[in-house]
Amino acid sequence: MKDSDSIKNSLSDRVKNTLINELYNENQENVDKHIKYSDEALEFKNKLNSAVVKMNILNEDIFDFHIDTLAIIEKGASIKESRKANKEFILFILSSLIILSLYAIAIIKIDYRILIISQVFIAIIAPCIIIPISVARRKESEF
Amino acid sequence: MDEVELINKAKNGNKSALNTLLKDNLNILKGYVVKMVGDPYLAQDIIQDALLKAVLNINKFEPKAKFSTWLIKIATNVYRDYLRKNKGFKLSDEVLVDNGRQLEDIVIQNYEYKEIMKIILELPCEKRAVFILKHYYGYKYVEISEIINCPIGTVRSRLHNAVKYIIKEIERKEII
Repeated sequence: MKDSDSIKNSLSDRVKNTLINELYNENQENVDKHIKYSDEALEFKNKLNSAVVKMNILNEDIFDFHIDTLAIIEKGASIKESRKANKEFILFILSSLIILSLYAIAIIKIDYRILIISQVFIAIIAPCIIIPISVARRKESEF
Repeated sequence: MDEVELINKAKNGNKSALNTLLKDNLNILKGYVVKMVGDPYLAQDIIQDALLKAVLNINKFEPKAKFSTWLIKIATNVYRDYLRKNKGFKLSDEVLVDNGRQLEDIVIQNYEYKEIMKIILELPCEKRAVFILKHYYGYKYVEISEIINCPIGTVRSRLHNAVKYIIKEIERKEII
C-alpha cells in the first residue's frame, strides 16, 4: 500500500515538474499524455496559472528610492586610488628593506668601501637612466 | 552606443560611460534586489554595495554574459554575505503608491503584495534567487546556474520546490 502511494506521489511530482517546466519554456520530461492531461494535472495547471497571476503583483515597482551612480563611481575611484597608494607604499618599504639589508650583508662580507663605491656609481649612473625614462613617460601621458 | 562599447570605455577609465552603463541596468538590479530582500532600505544598501563592487572590479568583467547578469550575480553575493552576518528580516511597512486607483483597490493590492512578498521571503535565499530570476526575469536554467554557481539539476529542483511551495502557501492563505 505504501509502495503504491509513493509511486503515485512521485508520478504526480513528475507531472507537476513537467508542467512547471512547460510554463517556463524549459525542456520537458517525457510524461505519458494520459497522465499529463489527467484531472489532477489540469487542476494543478489551473492552480499554477492563478498563482502566476498573483505572483506578478510583485512586478509593480512600489518602492521609490534614488541611487546616485555618479557618487558611487567617485567613491570607487577614491578607493582605487587609496589601494594603489597603499600598494606603492608597501612596495617602497619592502624594496628599501631589501636594499639596506643587501648593503649590510655586503659591508659585513666584503668591505665597508663597497658602500662608498656603490654610492658614487649610483650618483653618476642613476640620473642617466631616470631622467630619460621620466621624460618619455611624461610625453606618453601628454599624447 | 551599444553595451560592449560602453564596457570597453568604462574599462579604460571613462566615468561617463560607466555611469551610463550603471544607470541603464539600475532598474533591473533594483527590481531583483527589492524582490530578494523585501525591504527598500536594505535593498538600497545592497544595491549601493553591489554597484561599488562592480565599479571596483569593472576590469574583471568579460562580456560573455550581459552586464545586468553580472550585476545580479554581484548583488546575490552581497546579499548572501549580509545574511551570513545578520540573520532574520522584517517586512517593510511601506505602502503602495496611489496610481489613481480607488482606495479599496489600493488596500487589496497592498495586502496581496505583502502576502506574496512574505511567501517569497519565507523561501530559503537560494530557492528565492532561482525563483525570482526565472519567474520575473526569464533567465534560462543554464544562466541561473552560472549566476548562483550551482549545477543545472539543482536549479531545476529548487525552482520546482519553490513553485510548489508558493502554490501551497497561496492556497493556505486563500489569496487565490
